[in-house]
Amino acid sequence: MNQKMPNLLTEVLMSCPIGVVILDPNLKVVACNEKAKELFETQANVTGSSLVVLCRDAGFENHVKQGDECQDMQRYKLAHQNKHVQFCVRIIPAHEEYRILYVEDITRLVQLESVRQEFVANLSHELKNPVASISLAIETLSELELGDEAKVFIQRIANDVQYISGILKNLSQLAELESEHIPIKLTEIYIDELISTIKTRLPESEVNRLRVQADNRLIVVDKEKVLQVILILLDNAFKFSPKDSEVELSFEASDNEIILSVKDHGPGIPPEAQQRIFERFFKLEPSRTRSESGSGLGLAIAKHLTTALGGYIWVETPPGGGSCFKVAFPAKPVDKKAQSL
Amino acid sequence: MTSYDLLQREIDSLHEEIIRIGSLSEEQLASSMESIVTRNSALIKEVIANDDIINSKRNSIRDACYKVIVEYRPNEVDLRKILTTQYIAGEFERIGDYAVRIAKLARTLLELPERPLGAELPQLARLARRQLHDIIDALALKDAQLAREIAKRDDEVDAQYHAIYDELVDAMGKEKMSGIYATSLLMVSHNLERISDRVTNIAEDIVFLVSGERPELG
Repeated sequence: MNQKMPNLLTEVLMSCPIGVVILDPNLKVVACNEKAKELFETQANVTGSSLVVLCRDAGFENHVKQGDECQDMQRYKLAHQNKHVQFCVRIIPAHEEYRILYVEDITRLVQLESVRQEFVANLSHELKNPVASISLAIETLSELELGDEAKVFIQRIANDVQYISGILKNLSQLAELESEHIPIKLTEIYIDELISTIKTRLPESEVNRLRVQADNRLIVVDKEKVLQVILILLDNAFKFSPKDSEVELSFEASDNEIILSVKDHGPGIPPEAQQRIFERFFKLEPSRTRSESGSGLGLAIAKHLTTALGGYIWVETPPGGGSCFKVAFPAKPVDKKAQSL
Repeated sequence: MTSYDLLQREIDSLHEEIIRIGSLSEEQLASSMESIVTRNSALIKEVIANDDIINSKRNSIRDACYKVIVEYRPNEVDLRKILTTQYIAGEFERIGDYAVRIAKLARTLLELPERPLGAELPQLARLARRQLHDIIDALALKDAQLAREIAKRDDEVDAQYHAIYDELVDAMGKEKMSGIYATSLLMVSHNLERISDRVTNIAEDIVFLVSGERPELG
């Protein structure tokens, strides 16, 4: 290594546009760059002091303390500075007791996000009434004596209005999910009961294509949310796979977790899109006809619901092609024997 | 490590503990004011619940101070540091109590019809908060001069408080505002003004900590 390199590295650290703090095993500050001081608004010489002297937020210090395995960026609100930050903690490879804290001010981003959320919520709310009145008008129109040509157009309008109101419904649900803390209602339910409810909510043609694999166990979950996630996944699976091909729904229950998967024989999800498909309005092929592709909000909703359930959702490509969506969420199986004791 | 070094280490960790409790009180103040501005009942509950954390931290700092005194029999300078830690922790704990009172007033305001808050009260809150934030800085820096300067800003807070007082009394007199609404805001401002007084006490403690002098800054 060039001899000048260490100095250069120090300079890079010092001028880094995000806050960098090096912490010793007792979470005392070994060094930090200017950006970190600026972010925490402190002038104190913090070298050798605990992190709290720098960050001035006992709660944040605690988060970092517990953040040994926090490789992904986490968000935190520094309440007294009214700032939102994202941070992660890394272990320095050659000095395992030392930690590096990266911290970045994302207040503007969070503000923008909330503006966007509000906008979406307002928009879908404002559009709901006119759309409802259009569909009412269409219904009235279709009862009139009209020429065949007019009927074709009216049908077309009716289809589009239905499509729009579907999007609006999803948008306002998404806005609701994003804006507030989602209450979880846990109930005991048998997996079989869950499955039969799913079947009643699917059209018969789809029920015939559905294959289910599950042990019938009693579990504790938020039934409605789990149902909704499953229905979104099944809806996609049926929509995007060849007619008459089967869709498999299976449940694997372990002691504290349930993994459910929905496997189809469709075209599959290319690896580069597997992360992005859970974003709102993300569609694999924009050219697809509308009736086939839906609003592009289903998976975003499914992701939000899964997160609210304390779980996670991802997609795999099974060896035989198609795609397999998996959802894991905590769900305690109930031990009836233990209960009766 | 000698017993003296160990004592210094204890004193350093006590010093960090008061910065911790200070930051908690600042957070409580910020949240309590936010709960008024945003009429957020969840936040009100949170502030009230968090008071226990501050109280138990104050108690643990107090116990740690006694323990260090008994164990190390510190000399005059070190004893001063330890005792000041105790005083300051008490002041922060009181500031936390004022934040809880503000949150409880937020609850009263929440039950009344919403009306614009005006600019004066949030401005008073900003002054008090800034003062609190900076005094924790002065504490971290052990900077007596900075502490004295921050204490002087108490006059600004007082002036703002009296302006709000006059305005609210006037609004009540002319029946522009309901009595309960106006008195609640008045009590919020009063609590903010008290916080500023506590900051002055902390400033005095910091000067004492650093120099051994007992100034009268209020």
